[in-house]
Amino acid sequence: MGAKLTSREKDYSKWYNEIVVNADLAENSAVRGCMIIKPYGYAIWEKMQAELDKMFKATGHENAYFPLFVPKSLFEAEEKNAEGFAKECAVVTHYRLQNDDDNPGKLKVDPKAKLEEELVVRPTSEAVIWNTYKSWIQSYRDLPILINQWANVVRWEMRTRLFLRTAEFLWQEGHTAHATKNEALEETVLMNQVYADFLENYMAIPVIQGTKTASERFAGAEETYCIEALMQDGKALQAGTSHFLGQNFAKAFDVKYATAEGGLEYVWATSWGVSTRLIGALIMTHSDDNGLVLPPNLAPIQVVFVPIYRGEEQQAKIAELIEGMKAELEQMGVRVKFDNRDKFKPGFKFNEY
Amino acid sequence: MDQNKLVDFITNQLDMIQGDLFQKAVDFRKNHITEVNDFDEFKAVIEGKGGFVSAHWDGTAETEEAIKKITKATIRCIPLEAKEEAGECVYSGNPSTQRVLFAKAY
Repeated sequence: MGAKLTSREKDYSKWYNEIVVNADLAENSAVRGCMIIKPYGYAIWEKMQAELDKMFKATGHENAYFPLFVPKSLFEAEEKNAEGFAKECAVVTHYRLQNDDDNPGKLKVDPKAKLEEELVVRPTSEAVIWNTYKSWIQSYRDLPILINQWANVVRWEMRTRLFLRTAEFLWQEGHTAHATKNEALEETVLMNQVYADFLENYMAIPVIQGTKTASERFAGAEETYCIEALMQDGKALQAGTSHFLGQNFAKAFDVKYATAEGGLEYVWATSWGVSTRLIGALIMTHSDDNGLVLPPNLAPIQVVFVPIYRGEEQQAKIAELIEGMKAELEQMGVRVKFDNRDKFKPGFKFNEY
Repeated sequence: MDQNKLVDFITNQLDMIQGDLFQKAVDFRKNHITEVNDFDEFKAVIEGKGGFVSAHWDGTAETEEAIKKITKATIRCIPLEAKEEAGECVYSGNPSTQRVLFAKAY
């Protein structure tokens, strides 16, 4: 990195922000609390997504997609969930803008296009999903449902930080439905373990697995499992959570299934998620006073060849050599960049990477 | 270094870097989990060294809230791996069955 970075000891918060901005990972947007993820930052997310998706599929899950908007009445159905998220909800009230006659060139909401029922922009999707599962589940043969979605959610946070806490963020949320309590509990624990494996083996971040106390639990959960990481400033970071929802959502949305014995039971549920907050964790765990440090398993570029030569003949010879090695490395799955820009000197390139 | 050796060298280096980064983070954490047995010790570690503090908790929300108000530390989790250990809550002195992890958090 070019300019001198604030040291961690001097101001950890500033250091973190400088790295995010100077390494071109993300920046603040025109909307307070919302971020723009730049190509390099997004490339890291794509790597995480790809690996996590592999792990989810390996544990029997499939991806699907549910609506962004949640009708308020649906959102209110599970009390604890609604109460917990209410204060952070962004709400859509109209469905049309029109020219503002009092302010030429400007738009305003069309008062005639007020929605009959307000729509909440999802802060989490349990309400939408369980309302849907209700029509998908009739008998034990329809279970288990093991679905995940990659999406964005909005939680109107007051204090935001790039990647760590943004009003809108990208994440995955798994929502599963089971016939028995045990199966649901097993799934909850399994997914927490999947998260732990991902953090430790891919992100090189050690985590402690545990359960949350009642007051820290997910609003609407019976039990919340989590993975906690420690950042270089000595503060903890919740890296992922997996919830045993019991029959709370099944009861709120009246989702029952016919058992093999002919009875009728409420369905058991889990939900679990990790988000772009993990990128913040990655940056904070490994980076140092010289700049961003990424573990090879998640680095968009793992190897950079910077040629040092004198004259065109040498340049051509070296290029040939490098292209050969690059191809070989890429065949082995290594992500290589050959920086053959002749407008920049090697010194500049070393600084950039 | 000849070309073939270089390719092997590079892939080995990448594995080594991945491993080293993980080990560094593990070591950092190891040095930043502190077991405490009284509230003064608790406060001192939270304010000074930081990191995780392993302490006994009486299981009540009241104690949890009190500790949070005074030190800003919250209970991060009840570790799955923690062994059953009878003790006294670091704040209230009431009976506790297991240590939990406290820390200031993001």
